[in-house]
Amino acid sequence: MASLGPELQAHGLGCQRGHRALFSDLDLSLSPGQAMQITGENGAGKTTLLKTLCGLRRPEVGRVTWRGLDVHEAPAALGTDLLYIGHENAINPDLSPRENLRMLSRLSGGGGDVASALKGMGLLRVMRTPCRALSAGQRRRVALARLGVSSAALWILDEPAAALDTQGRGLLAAQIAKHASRGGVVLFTTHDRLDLPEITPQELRISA
Amino acid sequence: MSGFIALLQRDLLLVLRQRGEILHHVLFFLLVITLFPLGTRPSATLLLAVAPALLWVAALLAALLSLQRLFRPDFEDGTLEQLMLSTTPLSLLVLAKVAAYWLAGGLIFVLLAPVVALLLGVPGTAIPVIMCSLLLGTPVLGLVGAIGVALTLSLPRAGMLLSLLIFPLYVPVLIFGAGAMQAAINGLPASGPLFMLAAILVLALTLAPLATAAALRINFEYA
Repeated sequence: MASLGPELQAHGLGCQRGHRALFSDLDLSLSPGQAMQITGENGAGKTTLLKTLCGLRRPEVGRVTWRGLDVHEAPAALGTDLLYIGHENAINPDLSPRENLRMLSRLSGGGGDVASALKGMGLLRVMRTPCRALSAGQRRRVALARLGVSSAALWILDEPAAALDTQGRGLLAAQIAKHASRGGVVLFTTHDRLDLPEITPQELRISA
Repeated sequence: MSGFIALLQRDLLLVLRQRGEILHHVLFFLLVITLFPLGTRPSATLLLAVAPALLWVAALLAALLSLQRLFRPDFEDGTLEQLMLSTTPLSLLVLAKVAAYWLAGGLIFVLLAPVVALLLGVPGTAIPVIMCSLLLGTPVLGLVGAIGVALTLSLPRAGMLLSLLIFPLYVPVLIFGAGAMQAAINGLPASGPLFMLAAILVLALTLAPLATAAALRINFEYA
């Protein structure tokens, strides 16, 4: 890792949707090797917060920096350092898990081993099946297989455990813990706690 | 650049997987052209006079029918978010999407044009100009249409607004495209309108992806 100081920082962040304020004056700071779990009620603004942090959406006030660069002002600030898995899976139903994953990994500039990442998520048998025929949990696993091909330092995951079974949650928790132990930064939202082996994530609760 | 190729390959693969939908648009183009003569007097001169307008109106309507395919599915399944966050410039990715869209639509119209033109009684000598006119004009339909689709993406039922937005922008293509065909059918030089079409294409090719990328960002930045 290049620096030991905080990598991802947010200062006085405030967002609103329409005329409704979601959260305000939110500060956070994550150093290499740290994970953060964001909780909050439905509609509290968890997804909005994540989208703001990864630069998709502009905050009404405040700023977000990654390694000292403002995410919203310097377009290349995050670049290949970011892996964002949103609430939607970004999986096309007419393509197979392999084709979907290969496209997504090439799009973020990476070229990891797609087959072994899918195998790691327990999708070896359905690797060539159109995603249309997969269950919701399997589709989520396809999206999460990106964790295995990515070389990004910052993971931002929106409800990664949604639709996953116990085994899937275990695989996910292990991936997150492994990434943190390698010096990566992980931010994720969740409804019910995700128990991570070895590390304890920071917790941030947002409420309107 | 690898993002451009990856996206182009993916979209072309999707075209193969969604053959039925593509076929629907091609069939629509053919149906408009074949049904029109059945509704008028059986007169060769009349048909010849309206042939250019008919070809272009069919291409415009078929484009309008299929434009939503450009971004809406990707917007709904979250792929578009990933495109925005890609290290490849968004305008380049837009170009990849429009290229795939044109290869599966406009290009097919260009290739079908000789058959359709002969069906309408157009003299064989005019066919190269007809194909040229479609070749230069149909990419503009996709490029300009992409701006409209991107602008109306956040609206749930954007069909009407999209039509109102982009039809005025299609008018120059219709005028010069049909003008070139008309000139060729009458045995006149058609290079003037063809050059105009080429100029419009270059303009659209350079500016439309930038405008589309900016319009796509609006959907997210102020969501």
